[in-house]
Amino acid sequence: MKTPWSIYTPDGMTDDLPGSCYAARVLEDKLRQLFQTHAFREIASPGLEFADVYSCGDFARPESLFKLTDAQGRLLALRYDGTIPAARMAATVLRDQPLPLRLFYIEPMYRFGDQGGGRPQAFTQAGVELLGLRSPWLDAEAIMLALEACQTLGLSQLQISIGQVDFFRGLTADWPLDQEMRRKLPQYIDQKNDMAVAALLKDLQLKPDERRIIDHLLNGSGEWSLLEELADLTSQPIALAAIEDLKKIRSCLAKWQLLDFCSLDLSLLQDLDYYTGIVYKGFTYGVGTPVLSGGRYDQVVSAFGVDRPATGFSLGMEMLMQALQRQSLPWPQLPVPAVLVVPYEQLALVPDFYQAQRSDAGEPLSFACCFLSEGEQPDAGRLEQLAQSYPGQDLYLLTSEGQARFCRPGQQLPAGLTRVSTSKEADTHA
Amino acid sequence: MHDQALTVALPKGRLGDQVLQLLNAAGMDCDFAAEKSRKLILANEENSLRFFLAKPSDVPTYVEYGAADLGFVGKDTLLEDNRSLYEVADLGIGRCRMCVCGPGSLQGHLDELRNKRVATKYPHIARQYFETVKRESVEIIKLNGSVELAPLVGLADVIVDIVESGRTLRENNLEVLETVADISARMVVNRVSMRMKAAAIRPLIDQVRQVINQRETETKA
Repeated sequence: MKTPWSIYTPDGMTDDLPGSCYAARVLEDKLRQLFQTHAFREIASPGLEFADVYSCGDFARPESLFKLTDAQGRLLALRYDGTIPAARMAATVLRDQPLPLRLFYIEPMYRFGDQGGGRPQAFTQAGVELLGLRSPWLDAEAIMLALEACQTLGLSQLQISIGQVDFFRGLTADWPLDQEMRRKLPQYIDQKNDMAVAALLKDLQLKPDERRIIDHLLNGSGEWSLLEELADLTSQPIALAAIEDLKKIRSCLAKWQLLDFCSLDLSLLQDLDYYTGIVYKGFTYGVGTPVLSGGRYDQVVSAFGVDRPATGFSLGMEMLMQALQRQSLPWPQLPVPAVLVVPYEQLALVPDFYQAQRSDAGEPLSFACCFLSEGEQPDAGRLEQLAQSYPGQDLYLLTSEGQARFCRPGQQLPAGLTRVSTSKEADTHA
Repeated sequence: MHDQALTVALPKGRLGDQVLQLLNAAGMDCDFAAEKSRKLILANEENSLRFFLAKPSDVPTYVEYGAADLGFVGKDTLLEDNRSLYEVADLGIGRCRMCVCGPGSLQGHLDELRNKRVATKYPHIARQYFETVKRESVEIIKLNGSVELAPLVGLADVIVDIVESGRTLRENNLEVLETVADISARMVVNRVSMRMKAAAIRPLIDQVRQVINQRETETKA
């Protein structure tokens, strides 16, 4: 019996059809190769996790998880991100490996969307994790690799905004803020909502320098020289350490001549519960949301019982592909196979033909067979029809000798095989 | 696409006109957008600036998805939609309040009423207010207009709605019971545009803020 939803895909989920699926695989392979070149090793998590994996550290809003139960009634969740399963592995099955662990994944993620529709609820992320060491050099390496990954895909117009959440944490550590204000202040700063920030801090006894810092956070232009200015405005040790951290990142990026792609943004406080140091987001034309995001997350692995300071990033593959298209950049084109038209009488010759193809020296042509039915003649009209059904594909006809003969579509072909030649080249030269 | 051309989402109606005035005052030549026509998108000659008029509640959506680089919209819509945007300026126009309103008999007794039924055009704001701020469960009834009617005919106990002058409330024997939030028009910017088109957007934000400050000083003086 026909069920009402049998012909649809769920909200936010789409089929990947030949063209886009091919492009996605090609681009993924490029990244796979790049990550491997940089000595990262691929992992794949099972796709289904115990929901506890995500709830043990409040890593995902429970509403955002696709949930189901196993046979014992335990709650399972579809893979929501790549980092948390990697962290689980780092704390368990990969616990005894030499550190830092250098892992990467390219996998589909599943998230219940918030609202509005139009947002994919299943999407592919490619991500890199460096686990087991706290060092700004590793953060810098990750940022470099993120940039290189985008460039490998063909994107050159890229901006990465880099921040450090400890700066805000240190700065406000001693401020007399209640819980509600502690929750809201970083949100407002992250939204660059200076009215709301001003209103929230109105009654606070802040030093003029502290107010100037807040103004810099909200309205900084992205210039790295702000670091020196901020260092003069605060003596809070955690905030100063964050600035030192950023200076090291800056010097690395300068050495690698990547500073043009990177700007400073200390208002990046969106995931304050998750990140513990450097944070960054990457932007490009043609996509309304960041195409990459990453940072340092030293507490995440601890939720699984082993301490592993860590840093990493993930790329949104669909968004990057959208950017390639919107910026009219080269796009991996699906190779079109030639079509082998098989008249009904020649059907029995197909296995021999395949065998001959395979044993032929050199690159065998890839053929998609099109079988004519009984009584159907491969005459000019029929071939013309076929040429239209397979636009842009070369047409070959299987002869009674078991040979593939190139037919030039669009040309008047007398009945039979008169206007075919033994090879495409010969025909062109003729 | 790679240049600094800006697309602006304007709310249809009076607010949109006021915003255009403000942008003109901020030194942005947008006379071309004021002409009355049926065109959905209006661009200046150099094509460096494009405006489109959208239903106010859709403006945050256009901006969040990057279909518009920036937009202007009431804080009520922003609160209801809760989208990931930069909220860079309070225009100080379209001022009003989001309130819990109900019959006078509930004045000072709202908390005594258990299992409230709340009618509103803003289900998210209402739920957020009762659940997060007041920490109680409520039953939200979504309406699309004339919300004041709901408590009069017994559909709901109270409403959550915009209050400007309070006249509609008074004429229907309803009162403001609690204020949820102060509302005014805001300028919002897409998170990517803020980076990729900083050269065009940042000066614009500064100019808009200047005009707003100027206006505020004038009103005070």
